Amino acid sequence: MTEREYNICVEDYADGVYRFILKNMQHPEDAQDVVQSAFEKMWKNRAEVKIATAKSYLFTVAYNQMIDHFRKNKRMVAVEQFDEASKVGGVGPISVKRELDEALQQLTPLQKSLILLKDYEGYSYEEIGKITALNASQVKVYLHRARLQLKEYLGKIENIL
Amino acid sequence: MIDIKNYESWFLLYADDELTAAEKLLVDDFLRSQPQLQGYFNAIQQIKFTPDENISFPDTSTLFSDQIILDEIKLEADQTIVYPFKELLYKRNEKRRIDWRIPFAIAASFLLLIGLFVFMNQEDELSSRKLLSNTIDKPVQIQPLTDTLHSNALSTSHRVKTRKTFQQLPKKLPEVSEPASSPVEPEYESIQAVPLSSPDPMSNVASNFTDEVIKAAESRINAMKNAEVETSSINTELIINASLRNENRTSLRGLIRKITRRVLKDDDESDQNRRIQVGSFAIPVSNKK
Repeated sequence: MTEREYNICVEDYADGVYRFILKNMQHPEDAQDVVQSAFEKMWKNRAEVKIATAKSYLFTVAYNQMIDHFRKNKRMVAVEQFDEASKVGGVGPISVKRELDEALQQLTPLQKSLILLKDYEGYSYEEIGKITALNASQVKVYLHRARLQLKEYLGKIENIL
Repeated sequence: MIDIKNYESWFLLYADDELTAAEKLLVDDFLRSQPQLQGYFNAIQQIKFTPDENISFPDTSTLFSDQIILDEIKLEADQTIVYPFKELLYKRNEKRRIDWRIPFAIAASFLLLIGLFVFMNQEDELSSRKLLSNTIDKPVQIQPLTDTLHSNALSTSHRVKTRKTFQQLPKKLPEVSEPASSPVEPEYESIQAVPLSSPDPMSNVASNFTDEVIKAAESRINAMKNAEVETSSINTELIINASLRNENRTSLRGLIRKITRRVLKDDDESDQNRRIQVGSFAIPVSNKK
């Protein structure tokens, strides 16, 4: 990867990586740090990184750094089952998009990452597996489970409303 | 093939956009045959997230290569910048502690040195006295002065010479003879002035000389009696030589000798009471086994 190609990657992928990380972390400064670190790492390893795989490389590095950040700050909370109190108390009569965002925060970072990589970036199961260090079957199972949890959550909200 | 048992997985794959166009048509046909599942299908398809285009990285200029290159330049720390609240960072709980034993140790060292100094001085005196007494290790017989004086008084040819001899007595060492089988008590009581019978012109002189000699002899006898040295005399030359040798000794050697002398001195004491005195300290010594 040349310097010019690197700068093209900045223009093309910085926002996408930032949205993906910010949606997960919900903390702009932390998300910016993660994106900055990801691009710095790609710059240091630019000799090995190809332009064709640069986007996947950036998402992979950013995802791993985000997970490390969660581990260090102990923010990673396994939420396999929805917390009933948080479900009801924090939701108001708002749009479906906002409901979805609220529901998304009930998922684990892995589940969120799977859904966002799928919906935001349109990665295949296999590509998502490379980023998250899972195989395609695992990605499929975890992703479907996450969507069903979100549907269940949204269904309960509709019933409450 | 999609059916009533696996339709959910197909719906999810549809939402994930993992189905081909032909597979999507199969799902559509299935929904037409199962219209009651249309709501469920719509609910799953609704759970899709679209990127918020309003969200963008705040400052992409920091990511470009030129900025990263600049960031890689190592900057030197500005030494003028200091943290203004260092006092708050210091730990005040632990006060500096001075070991109270240090002053006591110093004082004890001084006392020990002073005690050693005093001890050594005392030992010098004691050693001198010891030498004084050791020189009189064996009883010696002193030739009675009166005999000589008496004979000199009888002989006018030796009067002047004898007088000179008495004048030199306080300075000159007495004659010490080899010890006899038993010490002989000098007969001081027999000293008497014998008057000259002949009218010798020197008789007055001889008479005077004899009195003077007798007085000197008596004073010497009294001095010797006071010193309680009746059967021996002091070899002052030996004492002086011993003192000179004693001064040339090193202090360490002197200390060892003093301790040894102290032990020897206490030979006659019982084992329980034997002690070595070093300055003001008495160290008990016992031969108990």
